[in-house]
Amino acid sequence: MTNRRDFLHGAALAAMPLGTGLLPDDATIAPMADFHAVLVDARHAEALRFGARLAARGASVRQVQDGDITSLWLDDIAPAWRKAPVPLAGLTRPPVLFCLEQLAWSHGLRVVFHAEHVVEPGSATLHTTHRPSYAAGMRGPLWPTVVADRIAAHGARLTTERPGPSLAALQPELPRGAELLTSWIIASA
Amino acid sequence: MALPPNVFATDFNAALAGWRDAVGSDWVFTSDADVALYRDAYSPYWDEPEERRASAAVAPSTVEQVQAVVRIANQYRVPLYAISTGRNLAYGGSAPAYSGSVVLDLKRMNRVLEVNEPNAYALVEPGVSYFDLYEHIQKAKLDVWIDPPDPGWGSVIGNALDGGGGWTASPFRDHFGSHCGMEVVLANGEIVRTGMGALPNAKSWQHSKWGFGPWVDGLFRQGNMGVVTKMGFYLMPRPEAFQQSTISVSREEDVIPLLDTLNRLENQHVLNGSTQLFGGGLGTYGAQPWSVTAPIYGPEKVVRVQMEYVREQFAKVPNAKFVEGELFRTPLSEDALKRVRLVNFGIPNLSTFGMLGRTPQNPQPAGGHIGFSPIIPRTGEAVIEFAHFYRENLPKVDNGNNLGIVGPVFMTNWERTMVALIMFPIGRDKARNALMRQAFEKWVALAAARGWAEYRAPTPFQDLVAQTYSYNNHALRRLRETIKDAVDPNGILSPGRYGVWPKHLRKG
Repeated sequence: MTNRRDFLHGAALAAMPLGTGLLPDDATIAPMADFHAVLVDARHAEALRFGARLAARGASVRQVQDGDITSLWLDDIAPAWRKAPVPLAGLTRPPVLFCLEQLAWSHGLRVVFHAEHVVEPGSATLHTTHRPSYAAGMRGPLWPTVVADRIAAHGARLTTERPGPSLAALQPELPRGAELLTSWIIASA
Repeated sequence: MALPPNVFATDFNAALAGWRDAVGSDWVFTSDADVALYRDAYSPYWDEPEERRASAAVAPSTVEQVQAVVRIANQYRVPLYAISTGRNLAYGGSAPAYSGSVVLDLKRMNRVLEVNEPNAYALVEPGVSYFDLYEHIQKAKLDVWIDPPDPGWGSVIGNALDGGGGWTASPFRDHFGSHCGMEVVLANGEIVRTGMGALPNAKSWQHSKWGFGPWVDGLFRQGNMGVVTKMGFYLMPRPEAFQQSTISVSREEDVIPLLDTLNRLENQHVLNGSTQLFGGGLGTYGAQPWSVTAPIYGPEKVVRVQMEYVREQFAKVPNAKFVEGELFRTPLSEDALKRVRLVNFGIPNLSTFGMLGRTPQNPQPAGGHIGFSPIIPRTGEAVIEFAHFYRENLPKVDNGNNLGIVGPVFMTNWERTMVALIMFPIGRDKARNALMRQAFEKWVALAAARGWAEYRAPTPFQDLVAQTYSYNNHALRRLRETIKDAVDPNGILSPGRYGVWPKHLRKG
């Protein structure tokens, strides 16, 4: 359930010039240094653009090759989570989030931010935000940058009550030729 | 918080209090958000009233705590559903067969108790994943391989108990078949050790699986007669080399001698790797040609001689084209690691998930899937029959709905066994999932009419599949029920798992 503080934060976000995708470098937006890493699917230019935006905010960006997180999991994320439930963020295809979410539960982490982006060649990208529900307003060709700013603004905090599983496992019906990307934050909850 | 069926709130609350005392309050989960983590991620009933859901979960960390949890469940007649790590995706995940059961989550029991290099075995707890065991062996620099499934993030014990398989050499690929000894907590809380483990201070628990007298381990495979808390497994001494050939034929009838030759070479143990038959599906231009992969593990000299023999034997198959693959020496070089299928080398990974998403072959990925896995005879005649059966019935089952059913994939992972796998996509669209369920049920009935039945099934279809094993008025089911009633008279352990229900929950 959204509390008053979250509602006010949501209202503040809604007032930002998100439609343009040209957020000012706002000192009130937290740097990404608290995040262990930001994962981007190297097959998608949108994800790389998202990663570049967050790298500029101090994030440590990792490229996921061929959608396979095995080496990242074994060499990087699992050792980190064994020490502390540090947050992760990403813009990837859904299976990357699905795998990490399943693995995260044992370490006390949940998906606290989850949005989906239906990328269709020749059409505007369709955005749906599942968690938190107020994070609407992502549109325009520079949407990966907008989403990156959303992620930075959201940070690792929990904005609703402790969440259950996300919708990463199952996909909606998509237009033919479309690809589903998902932006997300996994954090302690 | 949901209540288990037929359990009063006062009893359930008393059970929860008892479990909190036994395992600590941090490890008893009752909030909706926490319990939702045990939903089956690929449930064909996702978000529908029929979806199998747990009422709570309890996560012990020791066998003594498992005993306490089970005794309390027995006292208050609360149904439990035991999982190891709950990653049995496509076959039910961690969701119970009987809605309202309390998940007995064993993933905190994650100790690798022993890895013995000279005798090549491991003894593990249920929460040990293939990743965990692999890392343990790597850190200890032991010269043995595990046999991971694909993907390899699940429990070693859980995969074996569910009937899973892997991709290295025989006999290790049959995960239940390559176990040696188990420890089980029965419904009354008593601990049983099987095989040589029944001897106090046993010295050979993981050295000989049969022990003395009737062997009972099979009762716990896909079973609900007890909670397995330890299990031994054979490991594979690292082979010196690996080489795989691929043999293809273009005419359908040639798959008969192709498979005869493959079977003979496997049954002679000339071929010892995980073979795979490709073909029989519907490609862009109709039915696809057939090919088999023929892998060999062993000392390099031996592998080379065996491969030459394999080439000679397949040369007798009409019109067969033989392609000898690269010989890999182990441990693999960094460069080789990029060119191989890692599970063939005992390396667990998650690369399967990287293949999900939109591809030319799969333009409408649904995200989830369930598997229809009938066993058919391991003959070319049966393969042709199944391929025709699939082509003839797919339009009827699909009924013009473009369901995206994928198959058949002929799995020859296990020696002497052929699984004709068909995959059903599961997504968020409930109407489409309902069509998928209807299609699944039709395939079960169509296959059973031909004498084929599944070796494993998603939880919501386990009753349906169990009913097809109906020889002599369901004599096998009745035998299992007799045993179930004897060892779990209150029916608290995983009721309904693989179609075995306790007396008070049987229908008809």
